[in-house]
Amino acid sequence: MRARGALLELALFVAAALLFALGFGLPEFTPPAFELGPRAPGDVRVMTWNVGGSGSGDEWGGPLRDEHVAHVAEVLRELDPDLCFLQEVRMGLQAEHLLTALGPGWQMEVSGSTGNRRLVAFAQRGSLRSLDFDDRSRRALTVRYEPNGGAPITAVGLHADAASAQRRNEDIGALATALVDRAGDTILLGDFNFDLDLGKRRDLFTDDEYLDVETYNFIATRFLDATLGTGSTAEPDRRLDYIFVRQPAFEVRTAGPIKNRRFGDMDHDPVLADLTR
Amino acid sequence: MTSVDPLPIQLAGVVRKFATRVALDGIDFELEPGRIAGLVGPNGSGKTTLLKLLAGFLKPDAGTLRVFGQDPFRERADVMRRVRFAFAPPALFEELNAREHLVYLAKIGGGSTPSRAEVDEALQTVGLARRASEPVRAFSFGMRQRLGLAQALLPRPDLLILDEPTDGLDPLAVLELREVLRKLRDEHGIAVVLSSHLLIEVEQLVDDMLVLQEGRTVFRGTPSELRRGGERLVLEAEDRGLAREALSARDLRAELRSDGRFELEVGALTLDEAAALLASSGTKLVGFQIEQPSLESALLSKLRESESQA
Amino acid sequence: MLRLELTRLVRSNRPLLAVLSLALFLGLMLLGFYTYAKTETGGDVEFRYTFENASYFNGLTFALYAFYFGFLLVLPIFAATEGGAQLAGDSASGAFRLLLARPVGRARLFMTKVAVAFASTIVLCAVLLAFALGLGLLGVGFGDLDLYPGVLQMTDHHQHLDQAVALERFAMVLPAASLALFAPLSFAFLISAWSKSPVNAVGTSVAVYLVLYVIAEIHFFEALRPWLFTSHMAYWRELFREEVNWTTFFRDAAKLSGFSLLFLALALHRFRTREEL
Repeated sequence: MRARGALLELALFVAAALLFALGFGLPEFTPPAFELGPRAPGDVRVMTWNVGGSGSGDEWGGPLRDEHVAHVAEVLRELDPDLCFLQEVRMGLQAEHLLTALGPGWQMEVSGSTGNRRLVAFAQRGSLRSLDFDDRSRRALTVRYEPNGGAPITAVGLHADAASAQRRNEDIGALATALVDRAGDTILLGDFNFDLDLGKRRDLFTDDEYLDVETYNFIATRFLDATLGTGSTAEPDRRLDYIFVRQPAFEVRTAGPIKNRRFGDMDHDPVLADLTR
Repeated sequence: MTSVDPLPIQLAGVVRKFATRVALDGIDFELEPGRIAGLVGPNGSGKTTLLKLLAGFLKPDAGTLRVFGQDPFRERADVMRRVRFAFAPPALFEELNAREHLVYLAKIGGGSTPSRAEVDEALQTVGLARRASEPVRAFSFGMRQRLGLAQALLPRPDLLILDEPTDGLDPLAVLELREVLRKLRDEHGIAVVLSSHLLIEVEQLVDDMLVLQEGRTVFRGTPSELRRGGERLVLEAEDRGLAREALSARDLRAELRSDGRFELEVGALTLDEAAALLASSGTKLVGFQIEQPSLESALLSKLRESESQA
Repeated sequence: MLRLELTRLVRSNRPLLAVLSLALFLGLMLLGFYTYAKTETGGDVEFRYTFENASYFNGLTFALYAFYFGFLLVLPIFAATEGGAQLAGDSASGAFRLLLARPVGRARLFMTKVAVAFASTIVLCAVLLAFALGLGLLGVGFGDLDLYPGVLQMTDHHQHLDQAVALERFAMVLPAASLALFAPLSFAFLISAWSKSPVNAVGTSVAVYLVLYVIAEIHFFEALRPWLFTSHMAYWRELFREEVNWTTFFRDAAKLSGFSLLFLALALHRFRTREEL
C-alpha cells in the first residue's frame, strides 16, 4: 500500500517534469520577421522613422546627431520610400543637410519645433506640400503628397507626447478625427509613444495605459493598423511606431519594421508599408 | 486466528518525544488475543500518544511497536484490516447520519456493505437504534460517543482499541458496553485495549493493566497484582492510646485511621507479636487482618511511589 | 470512499454558498456592465477620444467579461477553499483519524479528495459559465462577439467572432479553464497538507494566489513571469481569437498541468509521510 503511494508520487513528479519540458520546450510564437519585398508597380511606399538617439547620462533622448545624417540619407535611399516622415530631426540646418545628402529628386517639408527638434517629411516621385491642417503642428506635420500619375494622399506624421497619455489622447484623437472628416486617401503615421502589445506588457493598468488603450482603439476603429503583429519597433522591445491607413482607399501589401538600420544610439527602427490603391 | 498469528500488540522499549519532552519512555507491553487490557494514567501520562502510535498516526523514536506483527505507521492500511479504534473525543462526519457512518466506514478499503441487521445490531449495542437516521450534527456528546463506539464494532475486528469509551455514557449504557466487550472477548476472542481514567471500569473488565505516569511505566500486570502490592496490616486495640504508645515504642510506623484502627506495612508484626505487644502495654488486641486496598488506592500509592522515586 | 467524500461535499453547505456567491457576483457584474456602458457611451467621460460605443456591448461580451473576472478572482478562492477544507479541514475536525483508522492507503485517500475537489471546481466553473452566458444572452442580448484591446487584456487588436463560433469557443473554455483552476486547487492542497487549520490553509492559499497574480501582472517582475502558475492561468483567452494559436494554447496548458502535478506530488509526499498529531 505504501509502495503504491510512493509509486504514485513518483509518477506525479515525472509527469510534472514531462509537462514542464513540453510547456517550456514548445517554441514560443513569434510573428514572422518582416522582410521587405520588391515593390510592385503602382504601390505607394510610406515610411516613418524616429531618428533620435536614446541619449546618455542625464540626457533623456536626443535629436538626430549630425554625424548620423549621412547614414540616415543612405538608409532612405536604400529603402526608397515615396513618402517618409522623420521624427527628432534637430532644429537648424540638419533637415537641409539631409535633403542635400539625399540628392536630387527629393522634396522636403518641415514642422514647427518642439524643443530643439522637429518633424520632417521627404518625398520623391511626386509633389509634396505642407497643409495648414491642425493647430497641433508642433507635434504633427500634415502634407499633401501627389504621386506622379496618382491621386493625392493626405498624410499626418506625428510624434506624440512621451510623458502624458492625456496629451497623446487629445493630439491623436483630434488628428484622427480631422483626417476621418477629410475626404480622400489619408494616412496617419509616426511615433505614437504607446505600446499595445498586451502579451508583453501586462502591467496592472494605470490610468495612462488605460487611456492609451482607448486612444489606440479610437484610431483602430477608424483606420487599418498596417503593421499589426509585425513586432517591436523600438528599444526595449516595444511597438511605438505605427502606420494607420484609411480603408478602403488603401490595401496593405506588406508592412513592418526594418531591422538593422539603426546607427549609434538610435533606438527606433524605420517602419515601412507598401500600399496598394 | 492461528497459533502462529503474531500477538495483537507487542511493544518493546518504545520511546516517543515531542521536541524535548519525552512523552513515552521505554514502554514494554504485550497483549494476547482474547484479553482486555486497561491503559491507565493521569492526564499527560502518555496514554493518547500510545494510542496514536498503535493507530499509526505517529512513529516511535525508538523501540519496536507491532500490531499483529506489523508496523502500524508503515503498514497502516494492512493493520487496520484487523483493528478498530474509537478515539476520544469522537470524530465524526457532521454531514452524515448514524446509519450512513456505519455503512460508509465499513466499506472503506474494499470492505463489503454491512447488512441492515448488522448495522442495526451495532447501533442497538450502543443504544442508538432509534436515532439511526438523524444527522450527526444534532447529536449530543454522549450520542457521538456511542456512535464512535458503534463504528468501531463494524466489521468485527480482531483488536479493538477504545479511548475513554464510557465518557458521556449513562450508567445503563456503561453496563451494556461492559457486557458487549466481555462478549467480544469471551465469544469471539477479540483483544481489547481500554484507555480510561475510571478505575471502576478497569477493575470490572480488564485482564491486564498498563499504568503510565509522565511517559513511564508505573505498573504492568493484572488488577489483582496491583492490589496485592498495596496490601496493609490493620490492627484494632481495646485502648487506642496505650496501643499507640506501644507501637511507637517499637518504632513501628503505624497510622491511626479515621475508623480508630492502626494501619501498618504487611509483615511489620505477626499475630502473636501484635497480641504480645499490646498485652505488655496493658491493652488487648481485638482485631488483626491483612486488608486488600481498593484498586484506586493501590494505584494512587503506586503513582505516589513512582513520583517520589522520580 | 469516493461516494463518501462526494456525499459529504454535497451535504456540506460549501457548494450552495459558492453558487449563491457566483449568482451575486454576476448580478453585480451586470449592474457594473450597464453602469459602465452608460457612462462610457453617454458622453459623460473625462476624455474626449474614447472608442467605446454601445454597438459592441452585448450578451457575449458580458458573458466573457463576467466569466473572466469570476475566473481570475472568484473561482480560485473557491478552489483554495475546497483544497483547504479537504485536507486541513479534516485534520482539524479529526475526520482523518476516522478515515485513517480504516484499511485505506493515504495516497488513495489523498487522490480521492483531490478528485472530489476537482470535480467540485469543474462544476463551479460550469455554473459560472452557464450563468454568465444565460444572463448575458437572455438579459443583455444576442449578437456576435467583438473584442478590442482593453483592460481585460483579451486581445491586442480587434477580434470578431460570429455568435455561433463564439458559443463554440465558450464551450471549449470549460475544460480549458477547469484545467487552469487545477493549479490553484493543487496549490491549496499543498498548503493544506502542511496546515492543521483550515482557516490558515485557505487564507494562505488565497493570499499566495493573489500575490502571485499581482506579481505576474507587474512589468517589474517580467523575468519571474514564466515561472509563476498565475501567469498562464488565463491562457484560455487564446480561444477568443479569430485565429487560435494552438501552439501557444497547448504550451500554456502543459505548463499549468506541470505546475498542478508538481504541487500535487509535493502535497502527496507531505501527506504520506506526515504524522497526525
